[in-house]
Amino acid sequence: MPIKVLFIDDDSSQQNVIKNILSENLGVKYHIIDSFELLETELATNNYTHIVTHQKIKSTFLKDYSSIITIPVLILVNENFNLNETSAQVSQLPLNYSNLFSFLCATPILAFETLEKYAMGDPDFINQVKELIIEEFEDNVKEMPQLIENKDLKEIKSKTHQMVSKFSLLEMNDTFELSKEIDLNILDDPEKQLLNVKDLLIDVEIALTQLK
Amino acid sequence: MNCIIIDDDSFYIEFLKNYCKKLNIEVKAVYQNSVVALQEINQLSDCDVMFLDINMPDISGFDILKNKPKTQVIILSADDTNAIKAFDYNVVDYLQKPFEFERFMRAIARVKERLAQKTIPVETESQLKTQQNPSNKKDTNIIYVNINKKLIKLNIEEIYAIEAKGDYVLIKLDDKDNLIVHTTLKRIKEKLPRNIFTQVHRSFIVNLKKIVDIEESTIVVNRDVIPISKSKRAPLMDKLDILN
Repeated sequence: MPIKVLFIDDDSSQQNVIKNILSENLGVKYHIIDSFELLETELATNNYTHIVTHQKIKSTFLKDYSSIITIPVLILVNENFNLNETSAQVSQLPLNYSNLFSFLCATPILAFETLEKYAMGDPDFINQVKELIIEEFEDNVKEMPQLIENKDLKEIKSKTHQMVSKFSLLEMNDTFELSKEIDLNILDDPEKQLLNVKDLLIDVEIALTQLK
Repeated sequence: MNCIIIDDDSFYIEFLKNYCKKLNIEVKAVYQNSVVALQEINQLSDCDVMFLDINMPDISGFDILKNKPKTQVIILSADDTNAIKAFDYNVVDYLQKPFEFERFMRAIARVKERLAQKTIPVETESQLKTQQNPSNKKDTNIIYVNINKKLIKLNIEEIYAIEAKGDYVLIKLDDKDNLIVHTTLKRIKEKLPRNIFTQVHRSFIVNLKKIVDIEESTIVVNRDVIPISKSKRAPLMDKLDILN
């Protein structure tokens, strides 16, 4: 499933900070709500992969909703926060993209069992394969935004096609399915698929941090 | 045993090299550029097995298969959508990327079986020549194109368009796979009857009988949209019987 963050914040200036951070960066989808009361309805849609919020909003506490939360949570805190108070990840206010991205990267999206099996446990081969994937992913993270800008569908298709089997090798199952959809449909339905490419690139960026 | 690898993805080149090393298979040559591979198709045939990627820019693995490499071919592809089509070319095996070493070994075992049986069906030039008109009178509806040192018979009625592709031309056929021939558009134009074929663009010759629709700067031939040069538009219109 593509990354989608649910922000819970009742402070409109803080909501604008979130919007500004994400408008400057590719692909991370998000939705903002202003109270915990809406949390259950939103989570029932199964659309979200991460939550970013405060411990307390208005007069309600996050901990009162902990039983319905099964996805990673980042709690935004001020300087006085006691780290022992929660097992969730925390980030000092104000939120920035770097902190948010580190939080998104903390959830493993890939695994190495398949790759190790295909490389027959040969550590040199495994390292070589990882290096080649890192090189390809880095090139794509660098080059794809411009290709998206130029709507160079043929080149995007070609690069996505080459990554399909790498996602399979890294057990990135959702990303694998998304890349197949892009590869198959981008020439016929570029509007939708270019949005999917942006989602894909977020996964590639996260995978890169986990590969290194 | 030896092999060549044609794949634009350096990842799978290294992957294959490693697997080949484990089975003592010598990698004789590696081509990341399929156009270069096609140009050297005859030399490529001098090996036991060719690992051939399907999805490559400019010239696909199928374009190489159409030139009938005289070697055993194992197809590499990220998906299985082309598997049935690939086996029509008598390939030995179809490996879906990524593939395990055991699967690779099975493919190599199949190559060895085929090499032992020597069952590669290759039509010879002399066999093809016997199919030519025995009276030595040229049949104007038939041309022979040289593909990989073999003469392939073509009924010109089946050709709906010909497209220049660098040092090659792509002959587009009704209900058949396209053919890639090492020649120029000018040379092939000389062989075609002028009352049926006309050049509409520096890169395209079309069969007049197959034109479906004519727009200001394009024509539809079969289901292909083909550009018309400004300078070629008037001669094209002259050749058509237009009811005003």
